[in-house]
Amino acid sequence: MSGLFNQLRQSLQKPEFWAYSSWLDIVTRYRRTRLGLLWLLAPVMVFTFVTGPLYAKLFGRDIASYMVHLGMGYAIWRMLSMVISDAINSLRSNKPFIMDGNVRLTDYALKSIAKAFFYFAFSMIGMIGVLIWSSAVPTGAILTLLLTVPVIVLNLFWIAYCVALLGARSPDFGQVLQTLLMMGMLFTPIIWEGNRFATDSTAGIIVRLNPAYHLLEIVRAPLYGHVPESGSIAAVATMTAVGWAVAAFLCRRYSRYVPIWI
Amino acid sequence: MTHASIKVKNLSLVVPYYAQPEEAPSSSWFATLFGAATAVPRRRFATLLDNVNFSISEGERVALIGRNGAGKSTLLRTMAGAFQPSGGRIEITGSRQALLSVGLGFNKEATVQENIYLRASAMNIPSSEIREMVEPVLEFSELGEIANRRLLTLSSGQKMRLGFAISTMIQHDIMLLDEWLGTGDAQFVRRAQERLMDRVNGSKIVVLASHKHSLLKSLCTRGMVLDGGRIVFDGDISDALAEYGRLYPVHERAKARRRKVVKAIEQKVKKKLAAKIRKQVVAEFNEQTTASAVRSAKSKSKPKPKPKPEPAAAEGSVNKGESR
Repeated sequence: MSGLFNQLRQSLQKPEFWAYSSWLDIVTRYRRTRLGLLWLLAPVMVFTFVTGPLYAKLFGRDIASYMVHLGMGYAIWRMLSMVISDAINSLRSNKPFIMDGNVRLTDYALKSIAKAFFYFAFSMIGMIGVLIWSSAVPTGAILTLLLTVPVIVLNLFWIAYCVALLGARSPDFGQVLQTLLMMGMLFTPIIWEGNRFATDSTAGIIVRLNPAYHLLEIVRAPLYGHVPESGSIAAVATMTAVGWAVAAFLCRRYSRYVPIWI
Repeated sequence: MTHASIKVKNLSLVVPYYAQPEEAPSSSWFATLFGAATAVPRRRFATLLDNVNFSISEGERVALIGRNGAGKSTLLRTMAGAFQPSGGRIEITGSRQALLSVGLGFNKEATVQENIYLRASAMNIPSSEIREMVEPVLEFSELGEIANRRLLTLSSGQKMRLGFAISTMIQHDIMLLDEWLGTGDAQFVRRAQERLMDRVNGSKIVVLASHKHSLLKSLCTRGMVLDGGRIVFDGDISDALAEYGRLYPVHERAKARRRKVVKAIEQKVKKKLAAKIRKQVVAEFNEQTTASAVRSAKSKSKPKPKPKPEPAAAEGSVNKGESR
């Protein structure tokens, strides 16, 4: 079996399968609903427009800046958690294809990402409106998304690949991740603001132990016209490098066993 | 033009599996439930293929023969590229198509037509070709009228047809087939067999696992008998089938055993019936004789001849079903 990068290149050259099957998964889910794909907008919009003003009031924050914080935070977090929870079972649920000899596992990782990214992109339709309206976002800052979102996706890939592989090997792993994801939503500064805690305070250190914090930070900070904390940039860079290395290792060492595991 | 070939050297496949620990026969119903929930499955290893060696060259039609669990499907899966060998090597030249699991790999919520796209793209067929495939697939599977219906509304036979039509739409060098044909109505089965023959004739190598000896005989030139993950015989198809028959004479022995059991039952039933009839006849006779004795108390009548119950029992509707 060829290495991870080789596989990935092949998958990207032949996107028909993973692109089409993830598209079908999304489309068929909403096919029989009245609003159809408009439902894709709902979760992030409800979060932003209902929870946003409410919490801004409760916490005494500036609504323009808080809605951006909350909306973007939730959109990114949702993409992350969707990728993870989809990837856990992705190899098992694609078993028929694998058993027929389609063992290019990067296809299935890309499928998880494609689905989650599509949801993200759709929710961004509403979010772009918020970003333009918000006085806290300097004009032009929106464009930083074109740089930061690809960084997130780059990280999503190794996450999806590793999670898929480990999820196929051990059902316990899936359970652990599901539990972590539930907790993660509360631990990650989506509703609250992590950067309120100084880097050297105990709370600040705990907050910064969370990798999701850094992923959110590098997307959100530039939107306000700030440069993200250097710690966050370093953390994300390390995560990306180490993550891909781990994925490449797992691919080389274990991907051949996947058909047997499932 | 490349020569298609399959070369397998010292191939072995060891897989882990999980087994529930053996339990003592549970003391109570509750203990059974509790045991099922708490027992931790243990990881064990099974050797599915054991030092398999063969090579198939172009033009050969190979039958894989063996009992359930002998390793036929596993070997096919390994040749299809799904299972990576744990030892040894497997070299394949030529494009291959595995028809191992028809009807799987569909999206239930999507329409028939969308599923054609899905399966075809999973088979690595470029999208331009897929578009041309849709019409013939629908035609062959006779599902054109319901092309826009969701897949879950289809019957299992219809799904099988669809899967078959998609999988056999394209000619490949090497075909790997597992026995699955046989569902669907007779008319479709006939057409499917024609198509299959066509594909088999058009491909350079065919490996087919089946229990239908007549099918194997008509399709294949060579037979490999598998037993416990090993190849125990490799040679001409009729020799292979004979060898398999010799290894597992289950057929003949089972037939004989069944014949014996049927006979024993027949005799038992016959005896019971005969006894019953005899009893009835005797009772009737007694009744009649008492009645006639009362009626003709004065004049003495001749005693009736003693009835013979045996012939009546013989035709006593014992179902002498043919012992097959």
